[in-house]
Amino acid sequence: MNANMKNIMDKIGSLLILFVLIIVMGVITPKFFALDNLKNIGIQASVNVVLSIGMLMVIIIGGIDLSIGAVLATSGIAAAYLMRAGCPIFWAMLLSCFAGAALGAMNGFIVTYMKLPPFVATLGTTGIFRGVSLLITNGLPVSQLPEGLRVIGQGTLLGIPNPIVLMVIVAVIIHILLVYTSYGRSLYAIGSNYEATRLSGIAIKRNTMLTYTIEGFLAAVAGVILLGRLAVAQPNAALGYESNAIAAAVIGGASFSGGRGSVKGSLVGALIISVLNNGFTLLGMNSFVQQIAIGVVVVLAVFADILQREKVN
Amino acid sequence: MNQEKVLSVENISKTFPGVKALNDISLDLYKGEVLVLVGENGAGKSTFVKILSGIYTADEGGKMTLDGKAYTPKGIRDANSQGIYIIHQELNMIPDMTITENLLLAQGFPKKKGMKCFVDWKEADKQAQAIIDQMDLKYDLHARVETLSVANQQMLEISKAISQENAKVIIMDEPTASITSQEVDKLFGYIHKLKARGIGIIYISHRLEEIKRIGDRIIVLRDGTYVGEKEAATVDVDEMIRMMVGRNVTQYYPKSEHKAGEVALEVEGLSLHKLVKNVSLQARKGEVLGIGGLVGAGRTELVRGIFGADKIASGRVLIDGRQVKLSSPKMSVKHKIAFLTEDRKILGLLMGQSIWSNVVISKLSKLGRFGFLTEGRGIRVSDDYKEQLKIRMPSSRSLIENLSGGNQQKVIFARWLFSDSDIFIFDEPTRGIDVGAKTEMYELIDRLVLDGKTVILISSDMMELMGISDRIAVMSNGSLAGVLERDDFTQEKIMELALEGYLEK
Repeated sequence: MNANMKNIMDKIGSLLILFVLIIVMGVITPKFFALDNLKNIGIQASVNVVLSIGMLMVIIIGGIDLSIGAVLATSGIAAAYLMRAGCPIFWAMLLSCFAGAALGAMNGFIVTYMKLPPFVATLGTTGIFRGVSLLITNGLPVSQLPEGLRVIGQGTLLGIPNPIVLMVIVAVIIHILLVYTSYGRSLYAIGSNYEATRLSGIAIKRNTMLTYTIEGFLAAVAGVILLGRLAVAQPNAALGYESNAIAAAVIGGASFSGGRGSVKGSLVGALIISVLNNGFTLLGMNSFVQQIAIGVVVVLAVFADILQREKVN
Repeated sequence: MNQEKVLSVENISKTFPGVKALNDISLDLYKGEVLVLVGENGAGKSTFVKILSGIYTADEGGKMTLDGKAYTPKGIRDANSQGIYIIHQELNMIPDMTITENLLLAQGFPKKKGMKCFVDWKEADKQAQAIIDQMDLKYDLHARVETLSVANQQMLEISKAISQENAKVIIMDEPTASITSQEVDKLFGYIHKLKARGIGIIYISHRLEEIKRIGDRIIVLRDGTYVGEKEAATVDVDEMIRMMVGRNVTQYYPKSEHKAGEVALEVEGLSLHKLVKNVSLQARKGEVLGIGGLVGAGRTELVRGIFGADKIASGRVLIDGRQVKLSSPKMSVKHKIAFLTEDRKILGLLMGQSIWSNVVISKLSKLGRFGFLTEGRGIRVSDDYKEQLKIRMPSSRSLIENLSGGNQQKVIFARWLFSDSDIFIFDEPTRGIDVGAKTEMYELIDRLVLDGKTVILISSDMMELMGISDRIAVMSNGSLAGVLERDDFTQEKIMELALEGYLEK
């Protein structure tokens, strides 16, 4: 019973924070529960949710990816150039996702075969990716993109905004991947004990490569959503987004030592950040205060997790 | 050698959960004496010196006296400040720091006059130079320690310990394990100087020649108890071996009659980059091939090489008569080899993961098609093994860290059963688990062999090794010293082979 209770607490800890936040925000700002506002929160959260799910996968195997924002920007530029060259919107989007996957694979290669620590590897590739996109665009935004593009960012499916639809699709697929496939289970094993997993006969290098590749793909999907909303590709897009993606995963229970974390958790984590942002904006509070609040939530959420863990041991 | 005691130990015991590692040890160490401790693996030598150097605390009831005063070290620093130093078998240097830094780290760096917050590096180098001069070492003080060979690092370690002004007792745990014979001469020369200074030395070694050369008295330990004492100069090697191994059987070893079949695994001329040299052996279907030898003889290295966990330098491995390339654990698992590792925590368990995850990791593909699996299936598998292996656990969903050592070991055992392997390598499978769980392990191993599987067993517990093996291959100093058939098993023969590789040095 006791173990069960702990298990439940473990699972709903951050969910509880989210509910409390929603109720508090709803009480102090009447507009908060308006349907449009809720849609807004979802749309705002979508990019971070997709990024944080990719980040989550890398964190589960004990890695980290600082280049995620740069991958988003670079693949977005790729999509924009393809469209300007006359490539149909759908194909341009799809190709840009594969471009993101290729950049992710590059991170994976450096980590797996050149054996750089992920932090350093992706610090380096952040510079490379960001630099390349600035170089080819001359530092200028790529605009005058086809109007049809906006369908992704502003259209709806059965009344639900498309970014939310995409976000849900990504979340469901990656959830299934992590929980219901051998590949997913082996990621937790790698993060928990690399050497034991290797000695169990798991293809650790291949799985690590694959994980960084999928993560790059997801970063590009987030880029597609952003492009659909803004209709402009910026070489400096998503600057600093990696910290929000990491924050969402960590609030949601992912551990930097690897082996822990879930899509559900990251989703809740990203929503907490969005609700905070949205509520503070409605209240007309300084955006700098929002940053402080998010920082406090990260520290408290992880601290609560540590306390709980110490109690168990 | 004078007859003044420097250290006196009375009735020291040490109990670990489930094991009495040391039982009522009493001995005296005289000034200027080299006291040699011998005993096979697990005899209690290491536990004893760890108590002396403050790493472990002895059980209540014993007494230690150092230079006439009661001695109860609270830690290694405390032991040092009271005059007891230890040279570990493993190196304790910080590889990224320079020689000077390493030598002075523990005792503190000299400070600049008038500016106490700054290190006086000139003075530090002078002090470090004095330390290495004692042993005639010609090292660049500003070189990082990792640039030195293992032998040179060992020499540095030795010179650090013996340079201590306040040293009364120096413990040397296999100091010559990795150094050349010239360096051994240097070390022995210095030990004579230490003796002249009246320092007592406790010396642990397998190398019988060395023991005779440098030792004054030999004390034999077995199963944590004091067996006897001999004069080093006149000791008879056979007699000493008998003292090391003779013991009463207390454990029951369930073992059926095994009918060995064809050769399942053949190793030809296997050498690793480290330690293991030119080993050839065969393991047959339906037999337990034990691998004996002292700690550090290369047993684990050998099986890691066979399993593909470490790269091999030369040699080949054949399974069922066909040569296979076992370049990684993944390949070995594919060829149905299982490897239960020596260090459960570091190399076996997936901490923070559920019990069922820990079981199924060796063959995830068995849980479903196209790479898909469900938790339900994993739990069913793990529940089956819970019944079969009598694993005591709350549920398959519980975290692995909530189980006792014996039950954790059974979970890893289940992992390899689940992999449908034909050849099982067990490296110290019963270390740190209680007697009941041990017997269950033996029964499981017996059942595997009756099913026609091949079991390769490494064990430092000689009774266990003799109890459940059909043949025993004995490793000594990286080479295969010989293979004994079950009818020829005696503790003396195994010990002779185990020591063989250390004799000629």
